[in-house]
Amino acid sequence: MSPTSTVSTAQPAGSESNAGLMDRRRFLALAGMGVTVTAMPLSFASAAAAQTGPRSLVCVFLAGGADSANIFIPRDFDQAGSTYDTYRTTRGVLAEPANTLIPFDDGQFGFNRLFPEMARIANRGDMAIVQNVGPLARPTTRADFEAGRSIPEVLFSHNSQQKLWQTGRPSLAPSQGWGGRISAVVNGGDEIAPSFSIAGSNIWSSAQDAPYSRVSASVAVSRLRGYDAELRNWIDSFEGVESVMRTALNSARATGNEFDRVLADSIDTAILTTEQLRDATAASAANDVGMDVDGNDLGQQLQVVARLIRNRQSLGMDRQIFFVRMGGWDTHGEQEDRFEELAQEFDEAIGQFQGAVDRLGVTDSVTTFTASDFGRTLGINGDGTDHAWGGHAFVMGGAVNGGTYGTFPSYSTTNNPDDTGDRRDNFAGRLIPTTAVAQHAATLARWMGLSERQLDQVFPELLNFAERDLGFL
Amino acid sequence: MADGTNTYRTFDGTGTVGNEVDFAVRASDFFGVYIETTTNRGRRQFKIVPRSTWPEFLFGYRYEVGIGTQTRRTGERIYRRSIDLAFIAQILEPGTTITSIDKVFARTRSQLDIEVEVVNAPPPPPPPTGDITRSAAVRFLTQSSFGATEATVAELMAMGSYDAWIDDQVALPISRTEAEVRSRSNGSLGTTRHYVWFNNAVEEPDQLRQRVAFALSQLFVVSDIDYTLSNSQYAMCNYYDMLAEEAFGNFRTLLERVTLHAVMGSYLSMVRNEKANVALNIRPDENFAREVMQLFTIGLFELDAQGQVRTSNGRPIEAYDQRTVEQFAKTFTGWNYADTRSWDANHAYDRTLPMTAWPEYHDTTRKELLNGTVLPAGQTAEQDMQGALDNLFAHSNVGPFIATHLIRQLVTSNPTPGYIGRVAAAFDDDGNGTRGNMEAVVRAILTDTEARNGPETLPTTFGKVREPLIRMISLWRAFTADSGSRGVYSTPQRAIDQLDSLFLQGPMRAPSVFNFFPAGGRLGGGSTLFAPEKSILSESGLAAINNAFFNQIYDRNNRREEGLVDYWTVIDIDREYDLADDVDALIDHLEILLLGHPLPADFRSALETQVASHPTTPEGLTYRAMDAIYCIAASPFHLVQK
Repeated sequence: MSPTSTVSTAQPAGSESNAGLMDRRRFLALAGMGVTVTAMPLSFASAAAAQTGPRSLVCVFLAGGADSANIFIPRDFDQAGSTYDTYRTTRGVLAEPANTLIPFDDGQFGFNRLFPEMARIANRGDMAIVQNVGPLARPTTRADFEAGRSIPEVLFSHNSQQKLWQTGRPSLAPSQGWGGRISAVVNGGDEIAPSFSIAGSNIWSSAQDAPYSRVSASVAVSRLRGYDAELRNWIDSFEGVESVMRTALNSARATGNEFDRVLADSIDTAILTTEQLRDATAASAANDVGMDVDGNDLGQQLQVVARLIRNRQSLGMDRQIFFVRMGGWDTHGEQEDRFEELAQEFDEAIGQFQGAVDRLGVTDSVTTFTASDFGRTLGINGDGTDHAWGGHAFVMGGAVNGGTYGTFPSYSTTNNPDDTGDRRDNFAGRLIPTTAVAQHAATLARWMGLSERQLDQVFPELLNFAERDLGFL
Repeated sequence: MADGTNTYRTFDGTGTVGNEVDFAVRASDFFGVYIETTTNRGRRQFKIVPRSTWPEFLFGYRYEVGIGTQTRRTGERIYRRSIDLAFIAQILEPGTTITSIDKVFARTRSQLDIEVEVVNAPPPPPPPTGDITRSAAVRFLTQSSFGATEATVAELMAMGSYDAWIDDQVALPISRTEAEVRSRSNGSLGTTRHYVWFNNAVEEPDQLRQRVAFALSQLFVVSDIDYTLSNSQYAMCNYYDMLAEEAFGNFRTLLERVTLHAVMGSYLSMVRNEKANVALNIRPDENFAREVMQLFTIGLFELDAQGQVRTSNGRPIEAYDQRTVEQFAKTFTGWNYADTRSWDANHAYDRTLPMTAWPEYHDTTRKELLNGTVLPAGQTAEQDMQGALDNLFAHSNVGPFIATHLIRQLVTSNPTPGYIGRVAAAFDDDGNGTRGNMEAVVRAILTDTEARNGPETLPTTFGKVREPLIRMISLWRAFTADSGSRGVYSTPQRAIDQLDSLFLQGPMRAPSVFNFFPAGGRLGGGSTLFAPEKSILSESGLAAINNAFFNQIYDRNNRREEGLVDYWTVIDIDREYDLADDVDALIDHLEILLLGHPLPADFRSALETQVASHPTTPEGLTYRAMDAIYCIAASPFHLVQK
């Protein structure tokens, strides 16, 4: 049960509400009790949190399946039989010309020229590139795929694969997101859960005992007029109205069905959240984080994140969890043009965000990572790519041990052991991941304070893999 | 059970219910399994031909025939078979529906029948006869329009018949958007399209058609958030008008018009999808092929006739696999904008024109589609397209899939399987032998006993979260809003074309082809009920919508004497002002108009006290009206439609 519904059954029906503030304090107290009392074995606040200082984890979800094979690209073209040549042959007209790539590290790999900010962060040692990662139940070979052994459910479809990424599981049955589960472990007992989505409801943030606030980048957090008598204007009868609305909420909980109850709780949560967060998210001079993100939707979302990070200490938040989303990556057609627009928005937003984090002096305690439904087909459909499976993911922050992780897959169109192929041994261009989401997520979750035992509970499939810690944090 | 008795899951209409059946029959004597049913064409008895083979039942096992309920086993296993009653559909005459299964028995060669017990659910109660009450009228109009008004309530009550009202609605002229948008704008901004769409939704009388068109736009999703389409506003309007035109037509026609519409072709990249070029490692685009199955017709998993996912060993059975997607992808090759100068030419296109086919880019190999259908090699793009759409249309998933979507859009988020089954049956056969009659489907949804009696018969699960957009429009309709001197509706915080930033919803402004909210979204808060619309009610969104209501009701009403600006949208509260000296009458009127049901006693009592606290001066009466409207319209009860 979420803390709010614990509270709702504890409050007597028709309780008076003239002292609006008192009710909210009582609500908070009960919410605090509710979380710890109904907590699962995982939910004691981690001692590690006190030792390391605050940490914030930011999930940047690229919805639609980002073509990461064209973001991080082999660059060893000077060498015979090079990986770059294979890449170029396989990708045809969509292959990026070798001399346009921005070198990374020793130059064996590079970034698409459209991602200069990503390259800059990588080259200063603050980025891990996790290669060919995707949902897996266990290490999976091509033979396993053809035999249908332990294959994650409903591959190649957006909504199912987004769910698998966000739950970290290979089956569609579990519905809790690993971001939410991290929050449930490390944030037990917090008055306002330090878990936020700037992109609306999503699975990653959702877990039992882990409420999260949904704040919008485009709509300023405003408090609820009518429900909140403190907001006065030219009519002064609002104390009476506020009292009636309180009664309405209690009445919905006491006499209504689940719809009425849950929606009454949602309004209560909205009242509480907007009161707490309005100042922390305000677009005021005092709250300026110095990001230049006009017209950049992802940038605006990350700006809200930056403001909340800036205020994390005054909000009493020790382990913040953030979810932002950028859509449009499903480049079945016109990929050349679309990718340019997508890259521009994404790279600029990431660059601006990392700049704000640096200026706030919290580079080492903010880790940002990308996730996406899937990578895309290595072969093309003319002017675009289709749904695939494994792709490259990026993790950024001062705490990150820069470099490449996991195994770079083969891009070859013949005899490719990493390709799913089809029954007639044709090249499919869909890579079987060589690293599992569970391993990737566990590495991030460990940084946020989960113990090995807790990791096994959140990621049961982790036991199937030799490497529990990919090592980038 | 060893003794040959078993019970079936409730069977309350046409439906395929997989059931376990035990027979204790001497193997050599076994003849077959029979079912006796009552159908709309009389009693029918027929032999079940099982999908899987029965030989293992017949070979090598010995039983003793059970008489009555006792059977003695001779030591060998008693055999269980699962009988899938889907076969019934294959052997009935078209247009036959089963109302009950009366007997299931195994027949032996010696003519001994061993029967299993069948339990049928009670038939659904007939729709209520008699007068339509005010409350019933408001409930119906909430499901079938953008919001009840006193005028439409009076009309419906006078007609005395939901069917008559539906007939009337179907016959009304269609409200469109394209012509007006053409006359008022150059087609590159979405603003005018929004103005016209809202004007139609608030003001025009063909409410049912518009509501269904809006529901269809959340199935066959296109969105001008997509950068390509944001400059094609005439075409976006043309697409939406098409949905309105086909709202009461045939699904097969609708599917074809959607498939060939250049807006959809652009959105799901079917336009310029070309046949494979193996040397260049180019294969057909799978976007439309996948989504036309997953989102527009059959969904991810196999469904029974009541829309329930079929499972095998506890796992849902997928309706298609990646190979099928690839087969459909090559089927839908060779289509391009009607006015394109060459296959690849890059210029402005008229996306109101349906796509046309280019034979040299069409894949002419053989295609294997669903359910064993094969499109032979050598067909044209048009022939393949027709064959593919016929194949999709014929799939048994379509009826329950479409029924579920429309029921959840209009009536309730958690329909019973029986309800879905009845509506799906109307899709499968409208009573005159036609498959895919959308008018019949809509009628079945709205006149069904579950829609009409849900709050009484299913108090814990019936209802849905109101879409924010529809909530706002319903407020304007209920209080006969005047759009203002510019003739366009507006809210205090946002202009109408930016309402989606407030409400997370805008006509054809979905963030992706998966619509504003995922279909599988749940209510949360410890409930397992579905409530897709809840996922867009964020904390900041709830505050924003509440404040939009607050400002509209308190600041922008026609009893405010000073400070109104002429282009504001202003609601008319004269009727409420006139009622306000009788507190009971005022609240009686508003609770039904806004909610369709009375307020709970404690809330009502608190509201009465507050309203009565204002004096009966003109100013006081205005406050009474405003308080009563706001407190009900902004309460959690208005967030839910029942």
